[in-house]
Amino acid sequence: MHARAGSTVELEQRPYGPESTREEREAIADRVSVVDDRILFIHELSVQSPFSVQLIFDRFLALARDWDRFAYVVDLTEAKRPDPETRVALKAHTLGISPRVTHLAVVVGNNLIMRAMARLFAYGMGLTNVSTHATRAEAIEEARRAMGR
Amino acid sequence: MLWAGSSPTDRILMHLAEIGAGRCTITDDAIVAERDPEMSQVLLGLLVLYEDLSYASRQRAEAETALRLVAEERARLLEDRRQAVAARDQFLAVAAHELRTPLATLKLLVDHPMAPPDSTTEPGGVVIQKRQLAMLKRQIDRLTTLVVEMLDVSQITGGGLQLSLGPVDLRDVVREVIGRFDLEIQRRHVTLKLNAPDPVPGLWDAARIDQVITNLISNALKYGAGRPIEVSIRVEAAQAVVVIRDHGIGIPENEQSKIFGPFAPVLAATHHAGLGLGLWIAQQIVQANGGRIKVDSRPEHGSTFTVELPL
Amino acid sequence: MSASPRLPLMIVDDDDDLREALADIMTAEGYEVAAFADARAALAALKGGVTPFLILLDLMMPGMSGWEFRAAQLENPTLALIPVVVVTAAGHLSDAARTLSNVEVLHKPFALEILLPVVARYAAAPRALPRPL
Repeated sequence: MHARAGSTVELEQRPYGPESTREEREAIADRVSVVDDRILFIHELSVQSPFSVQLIFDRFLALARDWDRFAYVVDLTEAKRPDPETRVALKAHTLGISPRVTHLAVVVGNNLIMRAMARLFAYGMGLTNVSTHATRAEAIEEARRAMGR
Repeated sequence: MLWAGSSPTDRILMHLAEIGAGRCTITDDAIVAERDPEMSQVLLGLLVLYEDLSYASRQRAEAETALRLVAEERARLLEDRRQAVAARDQFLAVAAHELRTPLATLKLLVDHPMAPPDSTTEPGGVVIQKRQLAMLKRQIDRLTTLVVEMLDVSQITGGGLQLSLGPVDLRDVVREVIGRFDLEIQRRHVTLKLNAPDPVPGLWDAARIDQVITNLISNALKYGAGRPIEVSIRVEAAQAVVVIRDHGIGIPENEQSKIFGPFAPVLAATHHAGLGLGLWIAQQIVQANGGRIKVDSRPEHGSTFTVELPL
Repeated sequence: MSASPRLPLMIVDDDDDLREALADIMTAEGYEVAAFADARAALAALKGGVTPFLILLDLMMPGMSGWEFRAAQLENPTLALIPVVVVTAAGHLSDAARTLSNVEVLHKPFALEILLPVVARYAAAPRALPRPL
């Protein structure tokens, strides 16, 4: 995982908004990284907000700029259930990129609730290329497989 | 409301019914505490469903409120505009009437000048009674006043008042204005007292202040019902204060705030009401000179106009 | 002019100068003039027995307006017979006339060449007026 140098802020368990500092914004955006060629990784925040969703997807799109198709992995193991407003933002962004997505692999650990959350999310958007996994390694493996490697 | 003994299906049906009724008793804690893994996932799904539905309906309600507020604002603006147009139309009607009346008199007098009895006319000449000549002059004065008022309003609303400031003794100005009204004061059999023991020098636009005092004294005579008028000038807290008090018909409570407005309602019981702009112009002038003008009035008891000017 | 007893010309207008000028001119033309600044006073005079052959009526007056005067006149069957010519400086001229029944309207400022023939016409042909007692 390529972490960007310079993000030293410890992110708290609260929703972040437009009043966030530059360091905080960097730290949030740094939760997106490139795992492999055309495979992105999002380490979801504990407490999400429409603002944090925007930051993450902005970075995501920047990294995926030159790729016409790609897969990505989302790690939900630290994430709390997002509120309805955040869900609306997530849905909008996810649908936006979905034409280019070959596969989304979601890390849910052994948490059935989290698994249910991921499934609800996928069902709600009519996505069929979504899988849930107990570990990161498995999820990344699945993403690679979907990209034909 | 946990129906601990109910079957999973019954519990699901109950929660579905709740959600349909706009309620939900499922909590995150309850989901975590649920022993049955399948049930916990279903409960999560139901809770998320309820949250999404509530959110959507809140959004809709907010949108409807926003639309309603916009519609109300629009209705308010339309009403304001309608009132403004109505006020302007009424003003124009009054203006037309006020201009046409002296013109009618002028026309009659010019068409039919009347010679005094026992006068002889030279060839190509006209003889006219002094009384009629005075009438002619009065109409011209009235027309001039009206035209000047309309031009003032044009200037004020167009580019603002041009003031030419200079050293002015307010007492002199007031005395001069009162002097000009001498004839009318006598004609109406009114007593006008001036209480101004000392000169009151200041830096103002003399002609414009004259205009204000003229308007106020003219009003006092018009609406004074023949009763005494008192004018006083004093200096108070770095201000020159002129007070013009009549004991006439007064101004109704609900009109007092409006009399300085443009197109102020022309008061009933008036002759030669003018355009109703005099007080508005007066206020503009006083404010432009750094001062304030206010009124205190009771119907049937008269009005007191106070002009404050900075020294 | 009608035969004696000579009926007066009534003028109702709140503008002092205009009323005086008009009264002077009509008197000089040989009419007897009854001029009123206030419509109420004019109405009282009519009820009191003053019987003009014509009323020259201004419309925009404070207190009782010309419209109100006309309405009151028409309520009384005797007074209703007295012809009225409206003389007005009001803006919406045709509208003003429309709200009044059966009247000619002259618009201020008017020329004497227009007014005098109109007055003469009514003086020459008085309607069926009850003879004054």
